[in-house]
Amino acid sequence: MKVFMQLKLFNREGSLERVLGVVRLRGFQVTEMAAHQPGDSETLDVTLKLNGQRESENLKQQLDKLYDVEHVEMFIMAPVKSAVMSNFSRQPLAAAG
Amino acid sequence: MRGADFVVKALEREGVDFVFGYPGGAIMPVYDALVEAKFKHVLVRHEQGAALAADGYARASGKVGVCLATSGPGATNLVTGIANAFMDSVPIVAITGQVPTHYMGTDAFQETDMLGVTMSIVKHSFLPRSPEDLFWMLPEAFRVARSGRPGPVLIDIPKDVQLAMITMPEAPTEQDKADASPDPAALAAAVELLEESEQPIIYAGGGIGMAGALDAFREFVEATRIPVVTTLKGIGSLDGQHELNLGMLGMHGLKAANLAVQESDLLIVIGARLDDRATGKLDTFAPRAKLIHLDIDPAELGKLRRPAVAVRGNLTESLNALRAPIAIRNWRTRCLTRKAETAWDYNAPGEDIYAPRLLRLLTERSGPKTIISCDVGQHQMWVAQHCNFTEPYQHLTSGGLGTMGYGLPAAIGAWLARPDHEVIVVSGDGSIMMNIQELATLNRYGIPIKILLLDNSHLGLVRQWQELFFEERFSEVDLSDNPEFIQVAEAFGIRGMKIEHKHQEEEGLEALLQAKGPFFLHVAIHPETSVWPLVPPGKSNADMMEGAKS
Repeated sequence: MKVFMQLKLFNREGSLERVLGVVRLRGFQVTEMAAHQPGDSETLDVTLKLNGQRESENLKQQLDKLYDVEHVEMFIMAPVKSAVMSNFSRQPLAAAG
Repeated sequence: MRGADFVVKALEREGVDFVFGYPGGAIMPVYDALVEAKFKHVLVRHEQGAALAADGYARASGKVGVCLATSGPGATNLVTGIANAFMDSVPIVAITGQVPTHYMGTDAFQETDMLGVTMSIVKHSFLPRSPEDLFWMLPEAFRVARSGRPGPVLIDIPKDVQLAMITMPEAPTEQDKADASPDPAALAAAVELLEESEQPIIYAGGGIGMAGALDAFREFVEATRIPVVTTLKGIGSLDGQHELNLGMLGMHGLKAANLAVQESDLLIVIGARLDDRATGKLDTFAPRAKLIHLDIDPAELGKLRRPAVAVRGNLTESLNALRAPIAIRNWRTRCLTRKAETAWDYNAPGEDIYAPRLLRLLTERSGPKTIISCDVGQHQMWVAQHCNFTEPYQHLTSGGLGTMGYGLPAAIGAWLARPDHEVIVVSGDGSIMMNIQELATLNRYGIPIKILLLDNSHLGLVRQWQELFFEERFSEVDLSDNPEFIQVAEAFGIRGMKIEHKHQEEEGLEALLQAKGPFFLHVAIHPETSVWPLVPPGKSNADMMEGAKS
């Protein structure tokens, strides 16, 4: 199953590492990643494309528990007729076709 | 003041009574500040003992336990204790010294990346880069450790941050957030399921005691009159002698408990995480049952089995909303009849000491203010099966991590938390050697802990598995070269006694319980005594093996 996650982290020491550690431990692989620090420099916007066989809702809940995670959203990637664009980081949420 | 002085003041502000630790280079400024601390420092003899003592203190007191160590090996020695607290959701704050910030990342002497090492076994970890960071990180560490689902928090403090001069800040005013209230719609759905159910079982976990929801839980049981099974950590949430308590479920669960769960049509899972040792093979677990799952941690709801109704939030509020009588007389009678029919028979052939009988006698002879702190192995399961507990804090056990060596240091923490209690370590000859150096801590502080060592000269549970599942190919389980334990105890200034025969059981227990100070009762048992019942790995809880008593 392919999963798309959008996270907003407090950009503190080790916050991105913690997210990636949870992703690995809970049985998912990162296939694409982008991280961007907005102007306020307090937070980090992270987009992850993940691949894994386990229940993705569990992963979302585990990420949501992290102290540094302010917000997490998840989308299951499925074929659609046209690309759906996120207004978060201008990344496609789901590819066309 | 220095950053180190603030660390001590912050601990005082948190109401800390005891800190368990061991000094070293990178934490020396904090140890210097400790000289004037209002709380007591307990010097252990290995940092693992500090973390496990903090764990035992936290479980027995309901407060946050604190441990302290230097950088490098001191900090890594805490790791097992931190992982233990993480797996069992125990609130501890571990404070470690770190090399100065300008040395960090240079592979300096005794430098270990503790933030990285502990990342997956803490609720959170802090690394203050300036003394001002300490102002919010220390109180926040305590708040995080005790809030929601409790757990361990690490603060790794570089030495230059400890030494930097600062001005004492005002005390923080932030209060702990209350647990969220449960969703009324979820509660209504749960009530509907309860009313429809004909064969419900309450599955009680350690979260009940940790949430302070014991009264609400017991009132829920009395109102609904639903039979109860407990997890290992849920023991004590309902008096072991209560008629509706069917006992512990799982791999070494009691027959009445496992079969009731397997036959149930509704499981009310309360403060538990459906651990594999409790459920056995998950897809055969309680095959007909719908689940109502109540927990504070949303990540546990649906993690292993999707509940029909998930109720997240304050457990007392949730249980109060579900409290209503339901008509299940026939089912209840069936469960209780089976409980009576499968009650343990403590008669065993031969003249050897039969460990389950000895532990049953121990629990009958002990007073109501008794805490038993277990190690890990056969004896741990026998305690869970055969000792009686009326409160969760009386049963200290390493449930999730299964940490051999837990019992003695946890008992030290527990006695300091509740010095009016009799604290008894029940250990095995494998486990006791894992942290036996803490006998020195008993002697140093005059801590009157009693130790009951069940010695079968083997790693008994591994031996049992090799016998059953590895065609009796015994591999590295023979401990017949153990030291003479009474001599070891005496070398630490602790009196002891050895018993080997059935007729000495009463005499041994009498000596243990009547001793005024610490006491070491060395009990030789037959190496082939096994723990029964046993659900083989990968099997359903309905497939319990039972065997001979010795």
